[in-house]
Amino acid sequence: MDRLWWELPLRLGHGPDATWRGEFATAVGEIAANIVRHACPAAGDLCDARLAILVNRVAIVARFTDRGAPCVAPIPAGPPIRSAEAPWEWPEAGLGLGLARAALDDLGYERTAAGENRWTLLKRLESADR
Amino acid sequence: MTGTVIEHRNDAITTARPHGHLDYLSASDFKEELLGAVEAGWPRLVVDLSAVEFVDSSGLGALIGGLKAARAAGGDRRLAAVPDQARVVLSLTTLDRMFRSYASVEEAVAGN
Repeated sequence: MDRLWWELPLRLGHGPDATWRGEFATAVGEIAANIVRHACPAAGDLCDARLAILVNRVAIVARFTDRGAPCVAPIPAGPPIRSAEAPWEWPEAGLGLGLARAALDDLGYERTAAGENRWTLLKRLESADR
Repeated sequence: MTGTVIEHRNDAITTARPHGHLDYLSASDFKEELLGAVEAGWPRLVVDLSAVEFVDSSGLGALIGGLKAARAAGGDRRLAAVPDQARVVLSLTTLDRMFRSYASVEEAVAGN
């Protein structure tokens, strides 16, 4: 990921700021953790997880593919929000997919006909110009 | 393991300095370390994040769990030296409104 942030300004003439990079890295980390924790164990850890990162002038797309168990949880619109005055109401788990979604412009999941999970993480580069 | 360095200070404040990634691999140990300080009678905690490279939702869960325990024991939870990626995660979840953040441990200890 560090290499990506180093190369982007050379290719595009500008690079995303620290907040943009932090959001993208957060989302990639959450989906990777989700695959390792949930999809792979159910498949006997033979899940053949792969990550490809595609870059163009408009957006960066990270695509995870794995042969683990299908994801049955719906993708929430964002992380659960509770009152800052009521910490006891905050959940301590189940924050990951909502956090990833909030960090991206789009988060897609599909179970392919070939029996693979495919996660597509899209973050637009114009949102880096702020 | 997060390699957390726990220090009990003379002013009744405990500083906790985790190291590396606060993620699904380390979050459980980190939470136990925080709860251990609270249960030992040190609920006033400053978590120094200066040596943390990455925080994921599991790391956030550990911070939330530690805050709940500290508040229940009449204490507080403050964050110091929050790196950019951790700041992003706190902001996206609005948890930045629940944790007081300071630029350094010294400011966190002195802060109100």
